[in-house]
Amino acid sequence: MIQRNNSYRLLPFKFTHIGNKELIVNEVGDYLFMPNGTVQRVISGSVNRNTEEYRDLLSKFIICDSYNDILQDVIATRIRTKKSFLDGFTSLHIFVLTLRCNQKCVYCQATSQNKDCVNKDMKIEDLNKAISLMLKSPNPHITMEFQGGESSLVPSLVEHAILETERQNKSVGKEIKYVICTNIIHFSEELLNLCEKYNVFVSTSLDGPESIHDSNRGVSGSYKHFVDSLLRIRERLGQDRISPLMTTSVLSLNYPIEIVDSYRQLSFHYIFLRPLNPYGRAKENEDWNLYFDKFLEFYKKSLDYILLLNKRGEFFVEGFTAMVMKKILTPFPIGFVDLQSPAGIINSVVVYNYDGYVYCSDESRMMAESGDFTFRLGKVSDKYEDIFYGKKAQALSRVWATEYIAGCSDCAFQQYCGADPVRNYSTQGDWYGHRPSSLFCKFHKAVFEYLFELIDRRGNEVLPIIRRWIYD
Amino acid sequence: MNSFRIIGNKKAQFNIDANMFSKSVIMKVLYWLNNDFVVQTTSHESQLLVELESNNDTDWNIMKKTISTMLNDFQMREVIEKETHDIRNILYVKAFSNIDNFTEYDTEE
Repeated sequence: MIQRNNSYRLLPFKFTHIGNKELIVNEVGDYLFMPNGTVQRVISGSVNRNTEEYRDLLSKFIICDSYNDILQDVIATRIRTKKSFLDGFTSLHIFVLTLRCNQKCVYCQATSQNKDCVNKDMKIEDLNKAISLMLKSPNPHITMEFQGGESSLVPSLVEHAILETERQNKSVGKEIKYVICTNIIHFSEELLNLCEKYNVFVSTSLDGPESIHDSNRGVSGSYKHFVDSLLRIRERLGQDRISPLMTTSVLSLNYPIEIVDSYRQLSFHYIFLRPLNPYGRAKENEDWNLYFDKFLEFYKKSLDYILLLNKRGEFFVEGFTAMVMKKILTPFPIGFVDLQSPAGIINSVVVYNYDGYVYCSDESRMMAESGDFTFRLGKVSDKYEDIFYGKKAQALSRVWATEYIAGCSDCAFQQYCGADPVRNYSTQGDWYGHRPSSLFCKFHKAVFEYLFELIDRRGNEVLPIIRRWIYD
Repeated sequence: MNSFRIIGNKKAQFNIDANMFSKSVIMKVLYWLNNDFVVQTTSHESQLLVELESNNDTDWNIMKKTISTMLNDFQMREVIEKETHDIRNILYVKAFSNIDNFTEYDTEE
């Protein structure tokens, strides 16, 4: 240990260089921008007491006067708060009720099948067993999400799933939130009644203006059906009971402003700029390096435009930025499974597939459709403990935290990022992954650097806007 | 890092004094280089000879500065890690201990 004249001690922290400054981040994600050379001076004991620099470093838990119990308890509580998403264990339970779909999306990650295909719906007995497994989760707050394929093609299964869950939950007493993921192309009255009765939230997809939306869906007329259903759903369920996600196809990359405006035109105040993921049909994308470079530019242009709208007085949120900024600016975790450590798989999300098997994430079951069952945890008839705490879950736990995997353990962005063994396996062939060649790493580092540059250069202008996104 | 030698557009060599940088620091730097370069190392007493070869044209002057920065940064990270290793463990143990669930045993019996 270095003996320092002024006897302060180091607390665990990471650092990197952004522009001509050093970004220093402590163990719970508090950050400081300091002049280059600060870290060298901190560790060599050259920071003088009674300076603003000393007080900054002290208040951000980069250094301390002593490792006393009170300090330890404060930081330990902060760590526990940051990791509180682990408290209840799996909260998001995805039910793939069918693989059949009525659209032909160019980027389909689920390898959906034709709507008339047979043997691609979940069997009732498997659905009942999956519901029993879900209700064994220790989490008192459960989100039950119906996915596909296109879940609106099987309204009777959706209805059965909700009624059976309500029945089984009478003796369990969990708080259940229902979400139906649907393209709402043909959203029947029967489904609307069900959504109204059981407060089902509708999660849908909108990729931009009519030309982009229809092109991405691979079916003409999709946008018109979408708008018709949107109006019906809003009228019956309320404005805030339906929310869309946007997926950025290669075509979409050229239209950042138009896509944001298409959301505004339909009276949405929120967009989530989501890149393609390398699964299913999307995996056929030729050059992922080029795609992510272009997506980053798309993201920056869109965000810049959205910030401008907010400056002009319009409340409009970019969801991905809001989530990352919540990690940076607040002591709290976020519910975004892609950026969690330990990883979102199993800890936060699990998938019951139409074929009666349980997978550790949505992406895992998408890989299964390509014949790769690596992340299959078991069958719905298996014991809960064997699925959620079994050998595969244990093996995954050895590679699912940024705190201890190579390339992440030293990274300044560790507290904001996440580990993703499924993505590692899909793109690099092994669970552990290789950070220097990882596009997940490259992309997220670039986003974090960009957001910290924004904070540093335009903090006075953008932070009040982003704080409204986080806290409102 | 010393004796940085550029061999054509696609290859460079340099020495790292193993007395100045730990094996862990050197390996972490090489880890981040091995996506862009074929990395070969040869040890001569306290000197480690590193050879980098790329399929692409490389601005070796920028690369030299980058590697030098990486060596210094990882060395500082090593100092921080060594000094804070124990307190970090204590903090995580405290953070994840379920104090309410602990059973207190009477050790007198």
